[in-house]
Order: sequence, then structure tokens, then C-alpha cells
Amino acid sequence: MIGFIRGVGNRSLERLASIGRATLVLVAALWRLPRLADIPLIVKQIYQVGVLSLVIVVLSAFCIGAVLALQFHTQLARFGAQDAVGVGLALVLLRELGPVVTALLFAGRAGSAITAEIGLMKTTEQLSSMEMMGVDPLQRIVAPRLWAGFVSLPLLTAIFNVVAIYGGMMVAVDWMGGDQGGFWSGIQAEVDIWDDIGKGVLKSVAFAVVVTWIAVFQGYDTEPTPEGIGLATTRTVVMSSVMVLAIDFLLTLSMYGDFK
Amino acid sequence: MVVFSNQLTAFAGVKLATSPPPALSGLIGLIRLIGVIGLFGWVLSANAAGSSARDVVANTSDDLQALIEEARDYVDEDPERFFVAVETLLRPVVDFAGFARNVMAVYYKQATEDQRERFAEVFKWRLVRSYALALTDFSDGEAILVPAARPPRSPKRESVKMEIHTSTGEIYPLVYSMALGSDGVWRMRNIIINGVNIGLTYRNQFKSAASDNRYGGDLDRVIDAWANVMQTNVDEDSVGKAEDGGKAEDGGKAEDVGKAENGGKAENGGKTAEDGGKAQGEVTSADEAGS
Amino acid sequence: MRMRTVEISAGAFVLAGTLALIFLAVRVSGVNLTADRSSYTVLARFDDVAGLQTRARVSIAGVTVGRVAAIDIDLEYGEAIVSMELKGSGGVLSTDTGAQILTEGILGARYISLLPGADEETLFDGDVIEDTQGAMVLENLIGDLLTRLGAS
Repeated sequence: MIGFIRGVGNRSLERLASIGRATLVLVAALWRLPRLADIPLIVKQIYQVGVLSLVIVVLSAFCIGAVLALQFHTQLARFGAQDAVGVGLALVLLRELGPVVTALLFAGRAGSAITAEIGLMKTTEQLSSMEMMGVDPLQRIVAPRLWAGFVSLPLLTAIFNVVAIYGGMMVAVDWMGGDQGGFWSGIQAEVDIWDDIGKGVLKSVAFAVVVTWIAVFQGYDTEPTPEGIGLATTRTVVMSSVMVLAIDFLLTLSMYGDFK
Repeated sequence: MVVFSNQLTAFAGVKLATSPPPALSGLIGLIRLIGVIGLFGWVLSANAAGSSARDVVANTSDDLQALIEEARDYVDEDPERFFVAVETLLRPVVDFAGFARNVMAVYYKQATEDQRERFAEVFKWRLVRSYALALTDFSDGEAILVPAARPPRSPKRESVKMEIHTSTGEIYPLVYSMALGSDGVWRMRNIIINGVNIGLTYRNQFKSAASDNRYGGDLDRVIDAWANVMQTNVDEDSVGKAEDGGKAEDGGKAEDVGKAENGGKAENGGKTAEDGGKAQGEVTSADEAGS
Repeated sequence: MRMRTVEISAGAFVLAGTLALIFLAVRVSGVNLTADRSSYTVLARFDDVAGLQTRARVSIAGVTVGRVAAIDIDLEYGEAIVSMELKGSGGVLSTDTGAQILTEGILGARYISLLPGADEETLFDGDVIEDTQGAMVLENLIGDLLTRLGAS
């Protein structure tokens, strides 16, 4: 019994400690805004993190958009309201699915890659040798990945939304025979640039910070063993996913609260 | 209240080209029935210290009460005389021309002077006949003036609110929109019964009629149709009333149906009478529901 | 991997993402950048606005001419005051224009329908529409009728 409580206490303290370390890492990496000399590093990371995620994002977007349109159409047709497919699709994507799904995909693809990369550097002592040479690994390794993540995820989300809406349009208009004009005018009439798009962008930025931060920290903090890297990578994906969904819930409540 | 359904038909609404669903027109009829009582009803507690608009409403109510009492003797044999009497009483206090203008809305600008006058006349008589008939039938209910519905819009417009308390305990709110004429007299311009803005409702229906292909946008034909509805309603009700204290016999109804078949549309129990059998059937069921 | 390729593709990615954002903002949200952005606000008092929400349509003969900007309450008289933002700069609708709250199609979104009137003077920013028809709850009306018939 005592042992159990001790265990719980230890784990909680350990959690707190890691949160503390994570914050320290974040602050230490970001306190200095990127200098001109750092740009090449960031660009390279944008490639690694953003460009290489494009394939999965675009494919998923198209499929999700198409599937959503299909489901919406089926349900709305029961009420004869299938013209509302465009509006429903756009709102759901812009407000919720775009930011959340992109963040989850990003965590799985880019987040785990970042964790693995940094974890490997730590395990192979690259980070410590850098320190010994007087190069701050936080600035050289961690910061560029953070900035790249902050920039890439919102952009990926925007691309996701566009592709998904198009995928939905192809189903709703070309396949289901809906009216293209009606599809777009319905969307334009109901989508508000601040309420829907703006808040969606806000969410994607919040997710970008969370996912990249977790990915970077897990890599930096991993046990310098092969098993450790594996564990860290898994933890990145799991923790990122949970945090994204939790924060999405909170953000949605605060943004769209006031439910009657 | 068997004759109630009969009266329903009288007020069942301005149905020209496009009809609201039968139930709704019956409801509008009912509501106007109630409202009319308010307009011409008995005022038990008028606020004497109110503005002149309220005084006009209160005084008119009193005058009408007197008229109804006096008319009980001859109304069954000579309803026309009663209508004329009511019209005479109301003419100074109801701005029928303004009310009609409100109903014509954008079409007022297109209409010729002649058309405007003709519609105002037709509209006036339609209102007067419908409401006058309701008056004689409706014998219970108190009308009470209550504090204003909304702040006076301007020195020349005011809303006077009244409540009808029926013997069965329901309360129906009425709001009279009064306008101050250039001669310093307050007249009624619009009425809102139980939340239904009658002027706007009529305006909608006039607009539907005017844009209906059947009349081809010809205002004269629209006005004619408006007049016909009124005419048929009136004949039905006179006949129905003549039967006996209001019980609708089949014989009486057949005549109504006959009239319903020519000229305009006529409502029985709120449904449009397309053919005799149908109308009879519906009226009968309305009667059963009513009694 | 050649640095050049990396740079180009990263740049292209950022460009694509930004274009996507712009596309969303301009084409999907229907924000009108070029056309006349002027608008004027008109008020209307209703006895019942059941179901009407802000950003609901305001239309004339079915054509959207504005949106509901705000819905406030006048506790003293028990009325709702609806602020409508209409396109243009005023001078189009007559002062006796009527405003009705209607229901749209099957899904039941409420909207406001304006009925132009006969007056010569027109509405401008800040004016009030007097002639109004609140939301009619059909069940209540039917209930009334049944009560009446039943009572008689």
C-alpha cells in the first residue's frame, strides 16, 4: 500500500519535473529570435517537417473531404437539404477537422521524426560534443525545428482545408450531381473570415506549438539508448494526439461557447 | 357556439391567389374574430387619463356597444343596414385609406388614383362587413386597455394596447396602431391581433396576388378578386344566419356552396370550396368540432 | 540531398501554404474585397424573435440584402430590438417597410423578410422599422384554435 502511494507520488513528481524541463528547453531555445544566419537551418527543417508531410496531408485531405461530403449528403438528403453539404463540409473542416486532423498527421509523421532525430543525436553523443565545441545545441538543433514546426503546421492546415473542400466538391457536385454554383455560394454566404477561418488558423497555431514542443522535448529528454528512442517516439505521438484533442476541446468551448 | 364555424368563414381571411394552408386561414379568421371584438368591444376599464389616442379607442368601443344593442332587432333581417351603420361609426376614427395604402405597399405607387380609391373602398367594406358580423355573434369577453405596448414612435404615431379576456379564461392581446392626422384627429391605421400584424399579412397577400400570373399584374383584376371574396363571404353568412340562431343546416350550406362556386374563392371551415360535396363535408365536420 | 532542392521545395511549400490561406480567406469566406463595403444599420422592434440568431439573413423577395447584426432586449416594454446591417448606404427602402420573421425551408433557420411599403421617405442609418411581425410559433396558433373550438 505504502509502496503504491510512493509510486504514485514519484511518478507525479517525475511528471512535474519533466514539465519543468520541457519549459526550460522551450525558453532556452526560443528566447532569441532567429538571426539571419539561422535561416538556412530553419529552411532545411521546413523542408523536413513541412514538405515531406505534404503527401500524407494532401492524400488524407482529399479522402476525408470526399468521405465527409458523402456522409453529409446521405444524411441531409433525408430532409431534402442536400444543398447544405457545402456549408456543413466547409464549416466542419475549417473549424475542427482541418486543424485537428492535420495536427494528428503532423504529430505522427513529422513529430515522431523530430523526436527520433534528436533522440539519436543525443544517444550518439552528438549533442554533448556540440556543447563541448561551444555550440549551443538548443539553438542549433532544437530552435530551428521549433520555428519550422510553428510555420509549417498552419500552412499544412490551410492546404488540408483547401484540398478537402475540393475533394468534397468533387463528390457533391460531380458525383452526386449537386449544383456547383449552389455549393460555392452557400459556403461563401455562411463562412465568416474571422469566426471560422480565423479561429481555425488560431487553433492550428496552438497545435503547432504544442506538437512541435512535445516532439522536440521528447527527443531532447530521451534516455540515450535505442529503447529509449523508441519509447520517446511513441510518447511523442501519443502525448501530442491527446494534447491536441484536449486543447481542441478547450479552444472550441472558449471560441464557440455560449451554446444555447 | 355552433355558428362559430360560420363566423370563421366570414373572417377566414383574404385568400386571393395564394392561400395560406387551410388551418392557418381558419386561424387567421379566428384571430381576427377575437381582435375585432377588441376593436369594437366593450371597454370595462379604460384609462381615462391616457392620451387622446387611447380616448379615441375607448370612446369608439363604447359607441359600438350602443350600436350593437340597438341593432339586435333588425340585424337578422337587414344586415346591410347594420353594416352601413358600423361604417358610419367607424369612418371618422379608422383611416381606411391609410390602411389600404399600407396594404398596397409598392403597388400604391403604380396604381392610378382611380385604382387607389377603388381598393380603399373595397378594402374598407370588406373589413367593416367581416367585423360587424363578428360583433353580433360574439357575446362574451371583456376588453381592457392596458399600458402602452411600446414607446410612442413619434408625436404622430402611437400604439394602444388592449386585452380581450374571454369567458373561458383566455387572454388575447391587441395592439392598435394609431396615427394623428393633419386635422388633429387620431385614427387607426393598423391592428395587431395576438401577435399577427394584420396590415403586414394583408400586404403579403396583396403582393402575392399582384404578382400572380392569373391576374397578369393587372391591379384592377386584383381588386376585383378582393371584392369578390368579400361578397361571397357575406352572402354565405347572411344565409347561414338566416337559418336559425346560427345552426347550419345542410340546406343552408348547399346554397352557400352554390355561391362559392362562382366568383372568387370562399372558405368553409377554412378550406377552399372547390366543389359542393367537399365544402359540405368540411363545414359539417367543422360544426361538429365547434359544437 | 542537394541544398538547392531543399531550399526550393521548402520555399514552394511555404508559398503553397500561404496561397491556400489566401484562397480560404477570399474564395471560401466570401469576403468581398472590391465591391462596395458600405452598409447601414436599421433597427426593428419585435414582440417575439424566437429562433432568430445573429448573422441571420435579411432578405427582400428572397434576395439577401443584409444580416442581423445584434439582438437586444427592451425590458421595459418586453420587446426585442433587432439591429440589421444592410448593404448600401440607405435611401432605398421606404419608411413604412415591414419586417417579418420567417422560417427557411425544412431545417428551420429563421430569417427576416422585408416588405417595401408605399411611403416616399426612405430609411437611412439608424432609422427604425415600425411595422413588424414577430416569429409565429405554429403550434401555439393551432393550440389556440383547438382550445376555442373545444370550449364552444
